[in-house]
Amino acid sequence: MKISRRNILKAGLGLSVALLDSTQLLNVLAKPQANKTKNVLLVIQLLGGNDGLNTIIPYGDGKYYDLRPRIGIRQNEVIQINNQIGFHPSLEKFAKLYQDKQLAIIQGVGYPNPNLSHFRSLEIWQTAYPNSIASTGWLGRYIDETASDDNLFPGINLDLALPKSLSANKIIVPSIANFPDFKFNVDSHFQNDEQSQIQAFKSIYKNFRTKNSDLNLIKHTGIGALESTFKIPDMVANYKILTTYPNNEFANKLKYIACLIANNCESSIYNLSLSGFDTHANQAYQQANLLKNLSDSLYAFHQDLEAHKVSDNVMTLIFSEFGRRPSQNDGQGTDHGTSQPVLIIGSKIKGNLYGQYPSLSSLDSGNLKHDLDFRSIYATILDKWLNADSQAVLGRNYEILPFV
Amino acid sequence: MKTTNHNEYLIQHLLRRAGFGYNQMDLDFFQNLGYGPSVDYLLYPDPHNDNDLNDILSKENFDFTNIENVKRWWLMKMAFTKNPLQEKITLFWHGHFATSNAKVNQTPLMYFQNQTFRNKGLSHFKDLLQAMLYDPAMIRWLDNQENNVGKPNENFSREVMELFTLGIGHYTEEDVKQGARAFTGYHSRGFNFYFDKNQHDYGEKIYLEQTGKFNGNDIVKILANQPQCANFIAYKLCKFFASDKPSNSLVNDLALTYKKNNGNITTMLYTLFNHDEFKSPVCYRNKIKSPVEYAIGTIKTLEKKKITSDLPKYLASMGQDLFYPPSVKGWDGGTAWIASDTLLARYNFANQIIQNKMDNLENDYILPTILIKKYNLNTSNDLISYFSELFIDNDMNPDIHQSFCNYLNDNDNNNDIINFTSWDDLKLDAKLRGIIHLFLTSPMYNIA
Repeated sequence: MKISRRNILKAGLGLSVALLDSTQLLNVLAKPQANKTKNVLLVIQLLGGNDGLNTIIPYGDGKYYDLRPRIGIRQNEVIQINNQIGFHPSLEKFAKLYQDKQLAIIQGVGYPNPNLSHFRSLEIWQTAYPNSIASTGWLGRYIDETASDDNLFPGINLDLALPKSLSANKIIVPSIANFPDFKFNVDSHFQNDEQSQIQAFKSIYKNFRTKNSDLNLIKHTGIGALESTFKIPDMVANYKILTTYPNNEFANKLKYIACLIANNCESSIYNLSLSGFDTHANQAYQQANLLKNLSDSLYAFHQDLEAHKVSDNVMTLIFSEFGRRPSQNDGQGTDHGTSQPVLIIGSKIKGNLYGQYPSLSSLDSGNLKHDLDFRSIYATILDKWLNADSQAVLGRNYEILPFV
Repeated sequence: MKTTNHNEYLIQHLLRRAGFGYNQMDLDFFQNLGYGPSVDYLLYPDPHNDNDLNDILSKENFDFTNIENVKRWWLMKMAFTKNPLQEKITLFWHGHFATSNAKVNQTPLMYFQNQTFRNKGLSHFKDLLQAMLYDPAMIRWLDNQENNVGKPNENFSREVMELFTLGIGHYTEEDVKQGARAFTGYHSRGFNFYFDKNQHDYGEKIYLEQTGKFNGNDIVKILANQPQCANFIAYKLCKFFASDKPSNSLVNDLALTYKKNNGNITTMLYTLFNHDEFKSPVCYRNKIKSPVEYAIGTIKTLEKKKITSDLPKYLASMGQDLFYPPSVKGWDGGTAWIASDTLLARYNFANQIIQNKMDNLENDYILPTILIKKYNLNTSNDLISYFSELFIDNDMNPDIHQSFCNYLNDNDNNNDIINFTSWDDLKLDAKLRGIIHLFLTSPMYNIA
């Protein structure tokens, strides 16, 4: 007799217990426990194309300063990693995590035939299919493979629009960009009509039928949104923030993610973006502020998770749609480029340097060549962190990296 | 199951797509004109139509250096103009040449750009594209301010091909670089365009397989004359006005109109709105409303007289923050509008609009007793039919009708046809506002 947790829940625990022998009972009761400590992935998208050369800086290479006479970060400002490379001075907190072996730097990440369009390149990273237009994202396919359809929170997106990475075939991933307003309001003058309205709303949605799959999305998203509003307030109430976060929207959303994780929300995937990296002009000041916010906010998030003793189960993946051109332009900025460093944070990861720093002397039409395919990082996360089948999600096998 | 014969609702369909919806007066006016003349009326806006609105707008004393004021000014125009297509095409171009004040950070420049979309939006595409080359907001947005001879900045050059004229796959990285050279020196100073002749690259360029000492104007002409530009603009217009997934045949017919008429947008839209496919079930009630369509349509149908200052915030949480598009690609539209929190924002806007009418009873369209008397609505069936016609072209299956009935009669199945005279005013008020809220939050009402 095969017993799934879902069937048990459907049958009602009292009835099930009577039908099970003691071994089975132990298995059943152990399952939610296992669920409770399952691993979580937070994906941070740096939108606009983060300048990788000024994030992990090859200060030991004179060519770097030839290419960037105005916007190169001076050697004495770089936070050194070794005698060749170092962190941007805004990334002080990341440097600290690196020292504690809780941050992995994967260098020279890209894909063949790089695309320099923001939108296509982001789509390539989100779908993990560089050679075709896919309708689903890599995390969407993971969720399709693993989540049960009665799971209201298979993943949670905190951006205003669902990123293609979370597009799935079977499951709709909810988006919650604004937690305080995530509720279904009814006329405050007639509170006693509230239940009738909610019931009618559900009934109308249930009875809505269409052959158009786009319109069907309204039906399923709408009903899921209503159901979710009943759960979210409980999960975010009474949460005690155990660290100080910077005061801005990005950090504020990280607080909610920490809160959901600490309160055992079933979601295994979170998505959040930080925008503004498209620094064609006047890059120095903008990127410095963005990187500082990124590093300080994620450090606070990490501390908060540690204080709640849940940091062992959380990994953060940070990527951008592309890096930027090694040579600066006339506006003290940089144009669209190719390969970039990808950063991974987590208490239980193997913090270190991985891959090769791209060569500044062997460029391809002025752009960096890549050393490592980003899908190797995805495959590693899927197989080693999320206990999934990377081949099923990515369509083939990729080299597994030792950062987990 | 559709209970609706779409041919009875073509005027409603046209006003939802070419405008922002309607109230009963609009419907009477356009139904009296008939479909074809209505298309002509919309395509050739007469400025005198809006004399009254302009009086109202001038009394509002808008501060055009304040973005919240400019948002409300535009939303008032959308809601109350008698030339709705002019505002709809302005919204289209705002999404096409998507420029965000998040970076421009100069409200007057955003306002000037918006006026350019309004004034040139129905003319020839080439003229509008050229206006964008000279547009100070665009110049700042895509860093052409920093585009100088010797070390060109590629931002504008790339997006002008990828997003404004050709689409990805129809140019090379070398075209991006060559185009950037041609656009060098196209700067702005203060609120004006400024050609910095010392920063322009006068040399020879090879661009889209043509060779010459091209400047920005030459590039605009080359781009607007590309057959692919006709296809690209045709596709974008079809996607915005006709269908989230337009058919090749519809797009091809519009592209042909572009090629025959030198990229005349009015003529393309004439082809579109008179196209059999546009008037067929392929397009009719088969598209997801944008937040602006949802909100302004509701304001129009409920005959609200004011645009409250919180409307832009509601629109932002529905995913359409005017003057702040998410990227240079604009709003993706279609299913991208649909997420749990953006739908909740729609529902909560609907709730707010139902509530705040009660706090301000003057001219209150949904003051229950007045409404019921005015339209002689005596039973729950009367009421459901009335709103179903008003909000969703009667596009509702019998089960949903029953859901509404159950709400009105509190699930008392023996009491399907309630006579409202037996209810006290408080209950009548609650149920009436409740049922409007349920219509506005229904899946059917999210369809354009």
